[in-house]
Amino acid sequence: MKNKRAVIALSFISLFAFTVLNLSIGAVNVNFKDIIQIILERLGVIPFQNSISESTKYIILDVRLPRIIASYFVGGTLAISGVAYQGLLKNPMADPYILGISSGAAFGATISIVFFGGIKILGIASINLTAFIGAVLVVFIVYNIARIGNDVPITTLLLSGIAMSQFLAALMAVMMLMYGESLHIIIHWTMGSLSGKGWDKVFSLIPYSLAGLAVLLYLSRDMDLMLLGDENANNLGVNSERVKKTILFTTSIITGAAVAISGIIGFVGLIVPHAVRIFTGPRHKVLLPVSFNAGGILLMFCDTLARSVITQEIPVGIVTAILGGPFFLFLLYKKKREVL
Amino acid sequence: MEKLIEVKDLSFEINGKTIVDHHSFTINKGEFVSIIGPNGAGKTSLMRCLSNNLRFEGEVRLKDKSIKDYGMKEKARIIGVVPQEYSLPFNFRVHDLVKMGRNPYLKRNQNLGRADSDIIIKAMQRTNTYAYKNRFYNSLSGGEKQRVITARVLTQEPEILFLDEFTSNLDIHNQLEIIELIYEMNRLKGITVLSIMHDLNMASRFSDRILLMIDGKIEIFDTPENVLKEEILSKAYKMEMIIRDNKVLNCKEIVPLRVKNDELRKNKRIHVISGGGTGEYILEKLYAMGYELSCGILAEGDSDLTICRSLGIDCVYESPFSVFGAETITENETRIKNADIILMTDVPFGRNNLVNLKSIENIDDRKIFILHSVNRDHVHGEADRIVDKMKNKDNVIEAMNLGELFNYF
Repeated sequence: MKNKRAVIALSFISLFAFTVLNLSIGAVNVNFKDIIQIILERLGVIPFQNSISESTKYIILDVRLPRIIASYFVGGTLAISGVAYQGLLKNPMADPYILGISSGAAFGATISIVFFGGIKILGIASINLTAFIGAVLVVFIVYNIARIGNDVPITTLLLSGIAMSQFLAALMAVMMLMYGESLHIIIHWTMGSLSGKGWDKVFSLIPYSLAGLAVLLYLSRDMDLMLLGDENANNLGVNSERVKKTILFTTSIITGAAVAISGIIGFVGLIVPHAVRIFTGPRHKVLLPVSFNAGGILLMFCDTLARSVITQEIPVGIVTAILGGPFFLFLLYKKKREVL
Repeated sequence: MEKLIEVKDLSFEINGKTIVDHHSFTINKGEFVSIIGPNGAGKTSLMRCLSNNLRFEGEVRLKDKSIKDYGMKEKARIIGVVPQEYSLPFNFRVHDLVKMGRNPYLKRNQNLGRADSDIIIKAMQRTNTYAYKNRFYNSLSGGEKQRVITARVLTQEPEILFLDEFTSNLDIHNQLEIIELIYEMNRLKGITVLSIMHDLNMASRFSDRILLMIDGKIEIFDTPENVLKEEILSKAYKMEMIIRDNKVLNCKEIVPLRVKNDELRKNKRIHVISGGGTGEYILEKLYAMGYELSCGILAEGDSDLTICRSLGIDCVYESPFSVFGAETITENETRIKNADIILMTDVPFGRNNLVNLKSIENIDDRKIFILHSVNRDHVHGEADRIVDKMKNKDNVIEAMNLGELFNYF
């Protein structure tokens, strides 16, 4: 137990360190002391600092900080969704996209890119809105296809998710062929990026993300028990069908919200839960918050690399895959017995 | 007796086929009830109905309240289910798994208290799992896993245990160990047990009552003496078996023989001279090979006679400790006359059964097989003298052991 507290503490200390570190990295170099001063000044803890230029303050507070916070919450959200799906589906290969959320979002985004361009609806960019709707709608459809009365058999759920993904991917390919001029934007979107995410995007995600974490934490012991199988969980006093529904609903909303602002960022939702499980064990009460933080830090770090390694911005989805893949393989090789 | 589970007019269907059709029965507090029956008879489904995990019609009342009116946790505080050993998608440690049994007693986000920890430790000590409480569940052997699952169900402190073929993957040591533990909980703590069993001898030994299911119907629900009968079980399992008294354990013992095969050829008739249990194996094997058999003269109470009766072998017998009567001897000689082959086991001869040997002493138109014996004579050399004389004849063959004997058949 002490060990687990240490893991939690450590992960939050590294969060702070990484935030400051990532704020300092970029085309314009800003040192740590200035960053801390800028933040403290904004928070009103210390008075106005005229030793730091306005443009530096702008870069830190309105360019880098919102992007970093957005990346943290996108990463965290994807990680806890991954935890929830792997537990729910009792399948270590599950990730947040396995039921077709990603293709739903991508399809929604494609429609928006092709037909609506840059229109805003109710102050929200149409691309984010349609992506979110697409994501949630797909899970809803897949769930209802798989449902038999009140039961949702896992295998049918997975299969209908996969079939739905393939179908939407095909529709997207058709649209990309027909509207060749949008091809570049669509592909770029599907690779995932956090570039140019301002405070509005951050605030459109944070409430979902935190509420999602809270709901999942609330259900954490039920999720542990459901790893024994639905009926075994029932026999231990868990209403597993209801928990299953709640988890599917929650994760599809939060994943949809994350994907809507970031595009499809792979690997975080698959790898972070496994990597964290090695250190914390499979109990969700610890696994969920630590995964959230680890996923957040990982994506924050990857995004900083994405915007600073070469002059051209790399889609962050590529960075997560390039870094995450080998790291996970390393863990798997070192500790294979404990991973699964 | 206090009723714990009362089933009224229960019906349910699987894949559109009605399995149990309007059945009613009661399980009393403190009983050890076994459910037996062939695969696919609906045993597990019946049990799932009783724990409200399968849709059904009719009524199941648990402690005089409909099972459908129970909350999940409330139900889990009364019914504890031990499934077959399973593995988990992720690696839990043993104590984490055992702790899960306390879930029905905890509110959401309520942590385990001292009392809970005591119960958990006690359950682990009872099941001998405390020693490896920090090991990973998935790295345990089958027997160890089943003990962990049993520990978990004990922390649930249930009033009734549902066990679904929970020992089928275990070796006999582990099987017995777990069943004895459950039996102890039943006898000492008064926990009611409802257990699906494939091992009929275990069911016979531990149950107060046995429920037999055949083809989705509850055939009979009664005491072991009334359920474990050849005519009932051989019909249920479509096979031949012998049921006899096990004097050591003081219960019925089931000896499965073989699955019925009417296609076996029945060409020749063999008369077997045996007694004192020397014919059990031989009769059974010859019967399996398809020979038509007769046997005699046996004394009542001889286990050879039990075999003959359960296999339906034509047999001449008389009450023990008396000299066989002339009528019986004639009856036996008629059978010898009708036989194509005569076989004599390593049966010892005493005063009353010596007549069996004398009946075949002078036959030389048919083959006689004799199984070698070093301790045949209990009549001061008379039997040995007859056998030695017979051995010199062309139609008599002596086999030194069973293996050699069955070379001829």
